[in-house]
Amino acid sequence: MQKIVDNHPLKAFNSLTLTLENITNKVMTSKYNPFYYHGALPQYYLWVLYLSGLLLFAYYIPTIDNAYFSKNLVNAWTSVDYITKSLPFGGVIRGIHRYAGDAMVITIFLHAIRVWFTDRYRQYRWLQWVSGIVLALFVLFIGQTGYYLVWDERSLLLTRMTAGAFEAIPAIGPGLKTWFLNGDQITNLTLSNFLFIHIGLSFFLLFGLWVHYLRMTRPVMTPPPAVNYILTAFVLICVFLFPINSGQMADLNTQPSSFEIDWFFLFPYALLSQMPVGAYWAVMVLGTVAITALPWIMIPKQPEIETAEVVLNKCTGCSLCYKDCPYQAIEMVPAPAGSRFKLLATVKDFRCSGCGVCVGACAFDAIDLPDLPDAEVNAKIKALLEAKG
Amino acid sequence: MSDAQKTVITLICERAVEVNVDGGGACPDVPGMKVIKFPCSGMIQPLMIEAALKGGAEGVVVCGCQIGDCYYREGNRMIRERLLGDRPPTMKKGTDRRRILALWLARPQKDRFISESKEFIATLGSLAAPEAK
Amino acid sequence: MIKYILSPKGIILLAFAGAVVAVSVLMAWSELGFSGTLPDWLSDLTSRIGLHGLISESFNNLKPGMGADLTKFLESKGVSVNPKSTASLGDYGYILFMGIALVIAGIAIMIIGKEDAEEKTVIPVKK
Repeated sequence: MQKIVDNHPLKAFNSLTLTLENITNKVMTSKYNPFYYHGALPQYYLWVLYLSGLLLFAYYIPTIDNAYFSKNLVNAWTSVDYITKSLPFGGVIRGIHRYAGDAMVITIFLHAIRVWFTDRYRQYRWLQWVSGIVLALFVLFIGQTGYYLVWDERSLLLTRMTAGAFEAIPAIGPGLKTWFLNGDQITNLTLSNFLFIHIGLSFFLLFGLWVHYLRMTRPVMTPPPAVNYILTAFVLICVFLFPINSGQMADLNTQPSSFEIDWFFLFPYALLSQMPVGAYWAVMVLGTVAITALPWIMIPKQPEIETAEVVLNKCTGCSLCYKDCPYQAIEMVPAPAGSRFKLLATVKDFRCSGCGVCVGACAFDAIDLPDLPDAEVNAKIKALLEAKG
Repeated sequence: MSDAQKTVITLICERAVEVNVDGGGACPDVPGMKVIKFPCSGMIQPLMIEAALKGGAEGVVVCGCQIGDCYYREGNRMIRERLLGDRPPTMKKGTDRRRILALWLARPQKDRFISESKEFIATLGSLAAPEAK
Repeated sequence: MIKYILSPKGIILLAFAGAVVAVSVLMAWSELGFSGTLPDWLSDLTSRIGLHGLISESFNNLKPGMGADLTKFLESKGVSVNPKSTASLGDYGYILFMGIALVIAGIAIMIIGKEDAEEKTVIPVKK
């Protein structure tokens, strides 16, 4: 029998998680325990961000000066100012967009920490771990472009820091900078590029999520409504407590030197301001590689998985195991010629977790875990019953 | 079967509540209980439960992790639905459903497991003996 | 299909879909200041049932904001929500109430729904 429970390297963290969740279960019961919907929480905030972003998009003007409106100064900063001060609930929508982003980062972090601590991130789940890292990086970058869009002094400084950091990359650096600024320097076209990156990549997240959900049968994507209410309320109360305001409008002729930092999105910039660009990229790339490789670093010798095996002459092709497999590891293929049945279940070993749900789904004893066949279970039951009580 | 032989079989997920088991598969905390561990409660077949009852077990306790928290994602939901008859394969019509108890307990909830299963065993005593076939 | 549309559920759904489309179109139109003229039969109809005034009123009323009255009230009482806030005071006050309401609703649903959560399943006896 498998003994993964007792010797995986994060056993202490696992029991910490379970103890913590035991307490939340007592308060909220398992039905509303947010830890049991940890993957769905950022997904909910993503919908909030799409909706609030759509409303902001209706009024946002991605230019840096008044080249087209010589009478009235109309640019990104003033359009954001108009949204905040003049539109009904504009300031609130802007606040929701900001804090839902922060909340998304927090919930993504919780999600990652939980799957790591409970040892649910490796082997047959490697695709989920790696795609999750890519998604998290994209969320960070999308959030940062959101900070450029406001076009206050902070945006200017961030834009210059990013352009500088891109430029320092060997070979592709100058090209990246040109792509980022939509030209060699900050112009009216820069902000439209930022807006495109911000919105375009947001929709790319949906593609990323599709990859993230691959091999997951029936992914949990929506928390229960009561949890959604609390998640929304959390954002609304933050909007009230800490209203969002822009800084001074960016002036290309000045160089601002400091800004308020949002640690959820802008922590790389804190790093960038403290070290040379080369070291910064080294830290970022190595850090990302290390986190991505975590499943292989933590457990260099991954335990062998006893994958399920189909008993060929018993399988009736009823598809029950195929429907119930939580990792889409079972494929129904046409039965070989001469079979009485149309289909035959086959196991894709590289997806199989060895959990045995397919054994439970089979009414014909036609699928087995090699280390615990159901015949053995039944023999064991018999033996236990026959032994004297 | 005689009264002295009464045994309750527990089919349990090895990641769910921690149950002490001695070498012979008995649980010293609950007299009369024999335990079989599975990698996931989703592996438990209704056939196994029926086999245990047919083989003379007084009752069967099925135990998985908290609903919503399965290491393999859905195992405990699956067996729960199978027990309730909502997901095939289900149990046969003639199976005595009063003799089956399902518990969904996380690893730290050992006390709850012991008290619930003791209570279950006590109620089993008041039921009529299973018809010998 | 037709049977479903004619069922009460279908009619409600259809009315809701109609309302969503109407409001979406009217919102864009109100941004343009309700320019252009309605076809005779429609303006005749809307003025006869008093809808025309209602529509332009309520959509134009979006401009000052739902929180405007609350802002006026709060300011007259000398309340300041947050010194950092430059946006409409009433909007923020409104959203706080909304947040608190959602928390209460969430907790209420959780308390009611708690009974469904289970750590123990007793299988109903079938006859």
